[in-house]
Amino acid sequence: MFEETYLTRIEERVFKDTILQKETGAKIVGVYCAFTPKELIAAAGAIPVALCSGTSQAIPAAEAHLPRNLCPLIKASYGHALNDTCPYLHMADYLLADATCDGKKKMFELLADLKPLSLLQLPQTAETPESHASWLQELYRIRALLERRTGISITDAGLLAQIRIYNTLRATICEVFALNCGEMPLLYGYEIDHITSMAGFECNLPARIGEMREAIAAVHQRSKDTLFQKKMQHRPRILLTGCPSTNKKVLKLIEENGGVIVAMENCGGLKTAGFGVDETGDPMESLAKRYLDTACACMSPNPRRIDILKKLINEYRVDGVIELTWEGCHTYNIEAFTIERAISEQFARPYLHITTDYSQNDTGQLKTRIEAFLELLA
Amino acid sequence: MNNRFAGIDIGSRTIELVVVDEAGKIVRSLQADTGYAPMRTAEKLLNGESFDRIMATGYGRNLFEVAFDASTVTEIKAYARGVRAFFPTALAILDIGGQDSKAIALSDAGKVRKFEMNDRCAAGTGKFLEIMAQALNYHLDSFGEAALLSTKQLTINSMCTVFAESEVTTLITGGENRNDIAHGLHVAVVQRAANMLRRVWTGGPVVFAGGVARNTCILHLLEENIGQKVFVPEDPQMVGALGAALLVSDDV
Repeated sequence: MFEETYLTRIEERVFKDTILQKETGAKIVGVYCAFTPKELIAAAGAIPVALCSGTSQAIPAAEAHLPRNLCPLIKASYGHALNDTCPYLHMADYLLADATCDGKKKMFELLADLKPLSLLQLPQTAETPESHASWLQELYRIRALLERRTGISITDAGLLAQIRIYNTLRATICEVFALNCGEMPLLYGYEIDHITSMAGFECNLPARIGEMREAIAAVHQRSKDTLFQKKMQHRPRILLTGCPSTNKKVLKLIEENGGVIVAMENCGGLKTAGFGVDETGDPMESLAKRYLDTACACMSPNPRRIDILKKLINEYRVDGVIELTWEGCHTYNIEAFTIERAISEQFARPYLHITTDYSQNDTGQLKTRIEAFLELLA
Repeated sequence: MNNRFAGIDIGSRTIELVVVDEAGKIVRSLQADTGYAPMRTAEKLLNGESFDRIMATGYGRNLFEVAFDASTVTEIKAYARGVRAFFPTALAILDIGGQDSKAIALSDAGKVRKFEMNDRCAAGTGKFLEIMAQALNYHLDSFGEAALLSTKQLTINSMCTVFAESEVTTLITGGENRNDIAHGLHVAVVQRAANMLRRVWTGGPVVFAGGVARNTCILHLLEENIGQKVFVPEDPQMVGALGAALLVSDDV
């Protein structure tokens, strides 16, 4: 029901809306990781857009400048910039990049030669008052920078309005996921991926939220569809965790071989959508708190990730956890050890760790490992 | 006629076919090199064999599923089932085959509890030993025996076939004895395999299966490394096919 064509239609709508808004002078700001508060960008009248990083085509070009053993996500982002093959990057006026892992922040230094780029200096912990204070200062610096670039001054009222819209968006994404909390999951992981996708430019969010709500209403019908239930009922329920699943090969393999991804603890999924910004306090402080608390493996320590996993395992009646990490992603690959221990010892669920890249040459081996894991859960 | 059940393990290097009777006793056991046309090889193996149902495992299982309308199972589950037929108390399996290696932990009841498998690289598998034996001009079957004759510890650092080959060349030109080099290569393979085993193994009897289990030096070094006796089935390459045959018989 929510195939590629579903998403293509929405992408076309989003693209049209963006062109209209751009004609009125709106700037487009390319963003990378989950620490960048898009509310600030939107409050400055600009359009945030996440950039391409999910396919292998641009990787060979990137390897002319970057080490081969770097994570494929970083190589793909940079390769698209070099080849000018990402339409979003092409249309972006400038980039706002958060200094998360070492690979990203050093790649950004090279990327700055291709496109105007400002770096958000991110503390490495959310556990101390000092790191919160410096992050808040950094967000004030970015706010001023955006105001200079767009010529629009960001008001607290405007910022609060954007916080509210983004909170609604996050809550709606959570509602989509929640369709899988019951005894019978109503969505495949690849469908969640399409329904909750930002489909490119983040402009006209109310329309995007409306589309998600329509999808939710349509999916509710499945609870009466016996044919659908028959196909779904014996599938082991998988929680996917780890690196952003920018490339879909592992997601596809899990569902093609008889599993169903009921929930995703990753960026864009419940790691980020599961948490709103406080609407009652000072908007800048609320933004700083919410974004610094992002449970990314680049933070040390990163206790929130275990808390999220625990909650999702119970809420989504998870049978087994699959962790996807990209080759060369040191932070997630090392943290996998801690995650595996928590999953198997504290939460008593089987755990499978897959490390791979965007190439197709290990599909046979991955299929065997995923199939064997699903056999073990059956 | 009594019911007969077959299992076929289509591996990267060899194909094994095992037929069992209703009691699970092996009545036929055949092997052939996989070659470049695995389905043709499989067809030849099946020619003249009689059985009621068949289950396929190994990397070629899905090809077989389509061509012969059979059910399939992963090597991991098949090995667990097959090993338990030989060693009912086994709690861990190390399998080193032609192009992959895996470690499997079993529950007391014999179910797969956890497993590890090598990634796309065939480092430290049967293929690695085969190429190293060639580089040192040994026949593969006598490679392990020769390594056991070594009197000197040499350390090989590379597990990548290409790098290891150049490391071997360096050692040869450095005047090292080839038995010692062979030994160093075996130590490197076992180090890697034992680490994989340790990721899943929490104690209890260990079974070593797959083609590399025939190598006496690897077995010896593995026992030394983990500090206990390791069991090897009489025919370590048949375990997967036997497991598949027993699983299809369990289904009935």
